[in-house]
Amino acid sequence: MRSLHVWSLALIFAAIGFGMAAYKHLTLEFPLTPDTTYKSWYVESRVDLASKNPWRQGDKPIIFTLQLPHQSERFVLVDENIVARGFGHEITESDADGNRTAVFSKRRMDANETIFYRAIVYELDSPSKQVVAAPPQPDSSYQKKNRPKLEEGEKEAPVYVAIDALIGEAKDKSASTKTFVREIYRLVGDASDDRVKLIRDSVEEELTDVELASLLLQADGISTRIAHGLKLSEDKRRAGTVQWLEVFVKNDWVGIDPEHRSFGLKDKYIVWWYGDKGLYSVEGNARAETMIAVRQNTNNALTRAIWKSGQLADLFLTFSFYNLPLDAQLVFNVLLMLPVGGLVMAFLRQVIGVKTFGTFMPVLVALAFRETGLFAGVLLFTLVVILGVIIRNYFDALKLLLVPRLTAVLTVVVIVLSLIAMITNQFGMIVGLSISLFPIVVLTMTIERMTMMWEEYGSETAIKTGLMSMGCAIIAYFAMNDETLNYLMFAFPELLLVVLALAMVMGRYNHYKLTEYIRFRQLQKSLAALEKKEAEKVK
Amino acid sequence: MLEGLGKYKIMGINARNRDFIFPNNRRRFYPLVDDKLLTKKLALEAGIQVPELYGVIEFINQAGQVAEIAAPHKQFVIKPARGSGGDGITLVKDVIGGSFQKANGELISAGDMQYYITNILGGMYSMGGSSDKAILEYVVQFDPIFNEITYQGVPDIRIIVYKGVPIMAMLRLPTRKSDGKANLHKGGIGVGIEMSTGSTMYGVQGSKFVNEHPETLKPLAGRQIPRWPFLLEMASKFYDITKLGYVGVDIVLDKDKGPMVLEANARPGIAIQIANRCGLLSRTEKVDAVDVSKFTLRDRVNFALNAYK
Repeated sequence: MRSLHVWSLALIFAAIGFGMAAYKHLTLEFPLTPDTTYKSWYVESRVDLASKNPWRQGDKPIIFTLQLPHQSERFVLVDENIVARGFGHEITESDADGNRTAVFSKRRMDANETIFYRAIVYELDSPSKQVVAAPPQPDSSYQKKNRPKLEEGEKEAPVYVAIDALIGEAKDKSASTKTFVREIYRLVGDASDDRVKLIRDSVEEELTDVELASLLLQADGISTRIAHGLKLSEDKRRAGTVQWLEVFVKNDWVGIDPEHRSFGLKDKYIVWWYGDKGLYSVEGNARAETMIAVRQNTNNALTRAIWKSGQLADLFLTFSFYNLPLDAQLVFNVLLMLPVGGLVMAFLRQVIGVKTFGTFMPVLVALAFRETGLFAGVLLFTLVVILGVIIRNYFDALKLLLVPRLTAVLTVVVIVLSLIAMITNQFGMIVGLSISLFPIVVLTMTIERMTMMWEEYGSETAIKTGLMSMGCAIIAYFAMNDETLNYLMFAFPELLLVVLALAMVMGRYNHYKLTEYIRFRQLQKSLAALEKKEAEKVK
Repeated sequence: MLEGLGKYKIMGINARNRDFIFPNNRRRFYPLVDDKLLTKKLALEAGIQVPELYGVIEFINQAGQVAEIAAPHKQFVIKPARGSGGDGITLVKDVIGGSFQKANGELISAGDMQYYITNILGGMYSMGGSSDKAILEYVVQFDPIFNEITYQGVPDIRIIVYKGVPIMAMLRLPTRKSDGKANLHKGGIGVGIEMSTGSTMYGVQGSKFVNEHPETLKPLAGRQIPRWPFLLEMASKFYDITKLGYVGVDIVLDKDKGPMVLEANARPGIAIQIANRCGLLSRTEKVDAVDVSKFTLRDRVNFALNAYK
């Protein structure tokens, strides 16, 4: 009954702890290791404007319109800024195509002007799916219903025949929208095909394959759009935009990879704009030239997570240690590890059956080791305890009363530590400052307990217990000093609930300690022998 | 190897604490056994014989009164009232001039004695380090039946009482290693006692089996403990006065005054299982199988004499 209570409570705590941590990891993308990095991209588009006729400048204002990259499920624009000296600028929110543009205007233009647009693009590990509104049915003039009505006996214009033929062939060879699209793509790619040539010739502008495929698909009533974007793969000073086709299938826009020509974008493409417009347009007396540069950055994933949860105004960030002042953060960094150390001790004592001086003494000593480093810490600990025991015995011979004697030992411990600090400082070592955190009171109690044990149980027990305490402290040190664990506790303090749950479960542990198997080994053997004898008797 | 302990129903410390001490020993009854003065008083009220109390030293300025208190007795035991596991107990077998002679012949000067008392009062041996009192009491003149198997000190009999029913017992013998104390973890020998007869069985020192006393070299097995049912009754009675459902009662046999209770322990050790070559859980199961709550004292003793054969 009581066990059930503890187990269910522990389970609830563990579930809450893990649940919150999982939420933070999966949704807010708090990384699980401190040095998780992720890539961000630094995208810059530089526009150089030059006057067409320098001597005629000033009669017309310059209006320069630049498309801006899109935020998508996968890519988030973090930090956008524009440098355009002397220009007034305005960013228009998404139009019908979802495009954003920046409009720059200037009444009088100098011979040369430069405009910068910069953005940092974060790539999300787990894109958040968004519901996409269905686009309106395409209304292309090539669609059958929009074609000019044919008079009796009149033949369809050759371009329509070519279109129908291509669509027909693709339909014959395909079973689904996807395969149809793929087939169209294949047909369009064949430059020697007369039908393709014919369509190209009949259209005024020069069509790319993507545009031609779009035209054909729309003629068949399939919603498509043409995306212009940037491939984020490596650092490039002059990165050209690429064009790809997106088809609306099954309630979602699916891109067709411009390189692999298959469904779904295989590489990392960020959409810059949709439609058949260009990257920019200029009105007025100027020529423009743009250049897009891409640079890759490596950032700490945690920074991004914090930024991200800040964007979401998340409760977890408001109540997180990262909002504390730095010195408080450092304190909690240590404090949060105490329960971990405690858990290790509980395990060592309850399950393994190790004996130590004082319940949590090794944990406190391990905390001190964090400051001093393991090697110096063990050395210091041993040195101070040995000196302490000698001095304590001397005070004992002087017949000092118990509590004042403890105070005297405490004082001596402090003196010894101070001397060590001063001496090591002389030799240019820096243990000096760090030992100030050495748990002096704990050391004093250890000295006292050890001496008592020495007297009452003999040197063997005392030294053995001392070594075991040291061993526990070292184990606790490794647990508490584990960088990943340290980070996890700090970034996911809700894991304390898991520690709590484990401690509770351990509190109901009633099985044998490991040391008891050794302790009762002889007994077990003789009982087994006895049993055997009995069995033989029966035979 | 790992399943064997459970198979033989051996009780581990965790199980002892969780399944026996927590549910059966209520915290507020602990002082009744943790404070030896209180135990003495309760035992006397219940008609259980205890070593005569010579005096109590409560304050540091009384530390010098040891000789004064001890004057009419010559031999006495000094122990902390709240000590545990036999820590801080000293047996004085003679007062020679101003100094005190310990059981092993060592002399303690008056000053050393005074210092030792102040350490007891300061709480050096007490549980939790709180300040304490020093008790001076009668030295048990142990029954000569144990002469052959004892080395400087007083042997005692530990009986574990579960829900008022004695379930396991052992004879604890001091050795040279244990400095006159009978505690097993200090090097004393534990000898299992057959519950139905009260005769000794196997011996254990530390975690090793021994068949003879290391100093006297006399066999440990086959010795009959006199008035065995009466000892069981004494131990069982302790349940009534302390209300502790899982308790270890330490009894000594005085050659003149008969059996007397030295102290009781609310957290009795589990080494007794080695001396008895028997798991404690097999005994507690037998008690749990019957409703012992309606048992009279006699019923409980009879149960102990008959149940574990």
